[in-house]
Amino acid sequence: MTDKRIWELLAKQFDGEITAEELQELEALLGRQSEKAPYGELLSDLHGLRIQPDLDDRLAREKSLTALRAAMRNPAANGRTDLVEAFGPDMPFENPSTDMRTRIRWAIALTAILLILPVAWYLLKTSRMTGAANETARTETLDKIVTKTGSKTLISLPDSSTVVLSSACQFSYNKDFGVRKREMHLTGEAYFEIHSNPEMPLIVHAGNVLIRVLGTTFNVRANQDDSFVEASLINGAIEVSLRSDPERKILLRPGEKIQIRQDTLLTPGHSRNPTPDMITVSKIPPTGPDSSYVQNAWQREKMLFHKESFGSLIKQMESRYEVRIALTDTSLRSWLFTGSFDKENIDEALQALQNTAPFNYSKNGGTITITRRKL
Amino acid sequence: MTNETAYILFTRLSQAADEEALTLLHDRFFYRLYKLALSITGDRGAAEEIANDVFLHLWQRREQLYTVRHPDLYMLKSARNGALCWLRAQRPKASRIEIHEDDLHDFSLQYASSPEQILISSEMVRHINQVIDQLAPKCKLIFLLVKESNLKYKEVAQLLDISIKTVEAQMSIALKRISLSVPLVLAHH
Repeated sequence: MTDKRIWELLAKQFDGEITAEELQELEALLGRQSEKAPYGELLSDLHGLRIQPDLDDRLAREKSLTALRAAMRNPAANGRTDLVEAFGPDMPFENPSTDMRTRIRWAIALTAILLILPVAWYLLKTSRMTGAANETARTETLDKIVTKTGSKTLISLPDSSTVVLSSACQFSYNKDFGVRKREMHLTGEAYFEIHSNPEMPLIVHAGNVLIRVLGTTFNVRANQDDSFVEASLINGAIEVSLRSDPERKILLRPGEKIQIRQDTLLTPGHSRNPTPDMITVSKIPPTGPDSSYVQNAWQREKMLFHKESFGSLIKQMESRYEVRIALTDTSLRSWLFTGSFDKENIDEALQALQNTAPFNYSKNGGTITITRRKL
Repeated sequence: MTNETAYILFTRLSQAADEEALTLLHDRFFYRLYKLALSITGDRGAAEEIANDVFLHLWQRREQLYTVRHPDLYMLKSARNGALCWLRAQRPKASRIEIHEDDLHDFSLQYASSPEQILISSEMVRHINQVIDQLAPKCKLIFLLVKESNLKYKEVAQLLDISIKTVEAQMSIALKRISLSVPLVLAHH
C-alpha cells in the first residue's frame, strides 16, 4: 500500500504539482524505505531523456516539410476549406479581439506580446492581404500593437531599445525598424529606453506631437481622453515639435517635462497654431525618498501624482484597478490631489482621497460612482 | 522547446508571416503531433497528413495566432481534432466521436541520453526504452504527452478528455516501471 502511495506522490512531484504536506509525506515514506530514496533523482534525470526518431519518422517529417514549404509559396493552398472544418469550431482560439479591428487603421493588430529572450532582428514583412501566402508587394505600412486594459507590455525592438506600454495603449513602429529609419506611433502611456544611434534618431508620433530622440530614457503620455500630450525626460535629450508647426522645436533637458494641450490643435476648423500658453515646460517634481520620477511611477507599480486633477486621476485609477469610475458632478473634475498609491486597493485609495476632499462613493458591480458630499 | 520559444515563433508567424518561424515550429513539433495523431487514428498515412495539416492551418490562420496563449496545447488540440475528424470520416454512422482510451494505438518511442544526466547511462537508456515500449498504449501516450510536450497532467486530461486522476495513476505506473528497470548504484547513499 505504501509502495503505491510512494509512486503516486512521485508522479505528482514529476508534474511539479505536489503540495507541502504531500512532499512531507513522501519524504517520510522514502525515509522509511531507504532503497527507494534515489528514485527522486532518477526521475529528475528522466526529464533529460530526448526522443530519437526512427527512420520512418524522419522520412515522414522530411516529406511534410517539403510539402509545407511548397504550400507557403502557393496561394492556392490557402483555399483549403477542409482544414477549417477539421480544426474548428472547437478551435482553441482565445479572445479574438474583433472589436479592436474596426478601430485600427492597419490590418495586423497584436495584443500583449512579451518578448523575454532578446529577439533577433528580422525584417517585418506585411501580410495584409488575406489569402496571399507569398505577398511580395511591400507597402509602407506599420505593424500595430494594442494592449489590453490592466496589463503592461514590454516590447523589445529590433535595435535593442525597449518600450513598456501601459494598459489600453495603441503602439506601432515602422517596418525595417532600425534599418533606414526608426519611427513609432503612440496613443496611451509608454516608457521608453532607446538605444543611442545619432545617425538614426527615433521619431515618436503622439497625437499631434513629434518627439525626436537620440538615445535616452523618457516617458510619454498621450491618452485619447486626456486633453494634452505630456513627455517627461529622465536621461538624454529629446526634441519636441508639433506636426502642425514643425519649425518650432523645443529641446528638453533631463528632469524636464513638456505638456501640450491637444484638443485645440486637432479640432478641425480651429486655428492650427497653438498660442504660447498651450505649451508648458516644467521641472519634473522629485518626490519621495527614492525620488522616483512621477511620470514613471506607474511603470514601477506605485502611482504618484502631484496636483493632478480628479478627472485625470480617475482615469489612471480606472486603468490601475480595472474598474469604471463615474463622476456625477463634473465640477469635481477640477479638484487637485497630490499623493501616492502603492499597495492600496481601490477602496483604500478612494478612502485616502476622501481624507482631503468631500465626496462619497458607491460600488455597483464593476462601476464606482462618486458624488459630492454635502457638508 | 520551451513554451516561451513556441510563443515567440507564433508571434513571428503572426506578426511577420515569418516562414522561418513556421519551419522551426515544424522542426520541433512535427513528431509530437504525428505521434498523437498516430495513436488516435492508428494509421500512419493519416497521421502524417494530419500533422502536416496542422502546420498548413497555422500558416492559413497566421494572422490570428497572436491570440493564442498556449501554442503547444493549441497545436496538440489541432492534431487531436484533425485525428478525430478523420475517425468521423471512417465511421460516418457514429453519433459522437471521442477518444476511446482503449482504442489508442501503439507507437514506438526511442530515447537517447543527454549530457545533463547523472544517474542514467546510455546502457540504462536501452532498458528504459524497452520498458516504455511495453507500456499500454494509453499509458504510453500519456507519458509521451507529459514528457515530450511538457504538458501538465491537467492539460493532458483536457486534451484526451479523461480525468486528471487517470493521468496521475497512469503516470505513477509508467514512472514506477521505468525506475524499477534501472539498476541503481547506491554507493553514495
